[in-house]
Amino acid sequence: MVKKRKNCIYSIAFILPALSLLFVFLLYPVFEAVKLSFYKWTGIASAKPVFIGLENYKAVFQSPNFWLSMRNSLFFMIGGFLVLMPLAFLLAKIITSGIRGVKFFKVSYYLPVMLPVTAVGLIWVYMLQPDWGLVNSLLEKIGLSEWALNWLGTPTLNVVSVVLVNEWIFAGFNMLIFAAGLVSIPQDVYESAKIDGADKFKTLIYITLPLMKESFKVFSVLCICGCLKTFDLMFAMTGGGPNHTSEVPATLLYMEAFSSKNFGRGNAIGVVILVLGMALSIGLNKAMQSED
Amino acid sequence: MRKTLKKGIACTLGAAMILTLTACGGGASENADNGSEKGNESKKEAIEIRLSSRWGGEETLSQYFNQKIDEFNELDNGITIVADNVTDEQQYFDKLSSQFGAGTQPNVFINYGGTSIKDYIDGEVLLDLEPYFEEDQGWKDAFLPLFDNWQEGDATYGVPVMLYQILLYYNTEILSANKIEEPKTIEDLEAACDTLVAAGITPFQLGESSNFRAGHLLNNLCYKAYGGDIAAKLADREINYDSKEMLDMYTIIQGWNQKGYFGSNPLSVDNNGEKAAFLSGESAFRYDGAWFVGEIAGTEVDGKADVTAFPYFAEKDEYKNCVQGGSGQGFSVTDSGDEAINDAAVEVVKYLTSEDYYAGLEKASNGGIYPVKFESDPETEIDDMTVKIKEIVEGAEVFHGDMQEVDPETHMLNTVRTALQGLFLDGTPENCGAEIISQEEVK
Repeated sequence: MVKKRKNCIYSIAFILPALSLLFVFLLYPVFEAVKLSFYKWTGIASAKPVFIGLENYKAVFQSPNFWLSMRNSLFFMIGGFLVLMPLAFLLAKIITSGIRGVKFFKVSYYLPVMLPVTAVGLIWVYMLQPDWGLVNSLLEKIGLSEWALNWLGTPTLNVVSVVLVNEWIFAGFNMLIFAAGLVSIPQDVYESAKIDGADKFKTLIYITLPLMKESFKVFSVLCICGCLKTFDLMFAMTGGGPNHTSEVPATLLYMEAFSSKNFGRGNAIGVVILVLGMALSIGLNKAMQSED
Repeated sequence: MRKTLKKGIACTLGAAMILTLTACGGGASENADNGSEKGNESKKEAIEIRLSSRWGGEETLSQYFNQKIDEFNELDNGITIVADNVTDEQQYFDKLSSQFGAGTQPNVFINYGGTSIKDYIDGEVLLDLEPYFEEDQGWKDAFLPLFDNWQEGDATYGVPVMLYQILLYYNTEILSANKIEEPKTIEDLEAACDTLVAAGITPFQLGESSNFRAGHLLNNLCYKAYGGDIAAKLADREINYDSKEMLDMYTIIQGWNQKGYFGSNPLSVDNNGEKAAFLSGESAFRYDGAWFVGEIAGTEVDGKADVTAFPYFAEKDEYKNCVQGGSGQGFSVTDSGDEAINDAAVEVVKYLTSEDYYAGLEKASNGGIYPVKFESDPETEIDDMTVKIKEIVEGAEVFHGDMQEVDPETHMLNTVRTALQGLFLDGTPENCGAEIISQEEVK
């Protein structure tokens, strides 16, 4: 009995530092954000927040910019599943295929992940500049001048451009997720399939993809959460503009809190992102579990 | 053997941790002893004044400002200025907001006064400078009467550090090559722009990616069309942002863009890009503050640039001298709750607004207009453009800042500027007005 209690005390002592950190740096700020979302506060430490109930949430849900930002997040998710996922999978196949120079490919595919997102964003801003940017200059040189567009100044196109840059940056990171899944598939399964006469396409469809379900699950959860809370790249490339056309929830949050000094409303947007992210992640997990 | 090695490493690391902690503790007590021995003297030595400004660039004003800070720090007078310069306007104000939110605000900071500091005044974080003016009347008397933006009741929460007026700079070479005279009226300007567009020359390369550019244009057009009262009328909601008066102004801006006056893709060019286009001789016009004259020296348009007052509507010459300008920026001091720190912060502000400071700045910039009365250095060589600017400024009757500076809602400055970007997309003037109105809380 005494030993059991001693073990229990030891266990608590071991997890206490981690729990304290979790509480101080995660749970407490979340709790404060939820609390502040019911107040009107100018963001000045000495100014007293005024309780206004659900007014901030009402204003957020009635704001056309909020729904525009949600639509833009959806673009990120669509891009994530239609572009990033196949691209990352393809890269993973390349680096696990055992071809010559695989180390070089690994490094080059992962390189964009290692660079600061804001720096990469700024590089792309210059490359996509409509009058003298590299992309339009190249298009004009190869005779496709009608394709030389104002990539970041045209509504919707600006979001699509940032989404594609986002996929370019994170393809390397997601490649690792899929590569981990690929190498964990036993070789004898492939050998059996080969003996049974399965060609490469059938092996991919009936062996590789089903056995990589966990990798796709991890990718899906990370993609959905990442798309909902994306901020840095959009902020560096468009700042949510022009005229809010490329706003995502996090840039809208930033604008409300810091430019409009409406921290209560900013927190309300943060809470909506949090709830939505959690709901989608849980829903996705359940959906994938039920198929098992 | 491996077990022993592991134990050895564990013990060494444990000892290292404990010794590190002991070392920290010892240092702390030593510091405490030193502190009690040296008393107030050591406290005075430790005063560090954090100063936030937007003057971190390469232009003369920024270089002079930072040079004077270095000189102040070399005085070794017990006060050290730690400058934090963020040149981008939006980023500067966003950073300030986060600092005020976290309670880590700078001791001294640059601001525009008016509504932009209203929340800080209400939050009781700014220091009232009136007691300091009473102690040093000469300091206050040296300023031109430009305190309105920083006054509330009997209190004064800042001092002006800049006097400006939005002017129209132009490239004389481009204009004379196209037989265009200096534009005096809006109609002249439109005719000049039409000629330049027809000749394949960009009249203005507007940097509307920095959304204040169209915001400043709207201010100037409104002041020239309706007089200075328009700002108060908009603030009182006597005239709305979706009224016919305002729609007419949005229509002008949109029309100018559609006619190509603002170059190609103004939404993809920022203020720096716009400056670069003018200073490299690619565009013919640029509207900017009086300070821009200091940036022309040494560029490709040095000697080819000239300046005039912002044009007025020919039919409304009664508002000809109503301009965007005045005490554009000022220093405010935050109340630290510690008298010694507050005194030191005021000392820093006095130094950076002294007559000597401005005499030196005038010399370094070869002229300029300033909010402080001072005797010029005899060696100062004032250039022709500055002489002209002084004449233009003297002719101005009423100065007004951004129209939203007097609005009861702090966010309106950004709201209006962002909505104006819609005019450069596919938005209509009506959409622009409706978007602004939808954000108003005070109806």
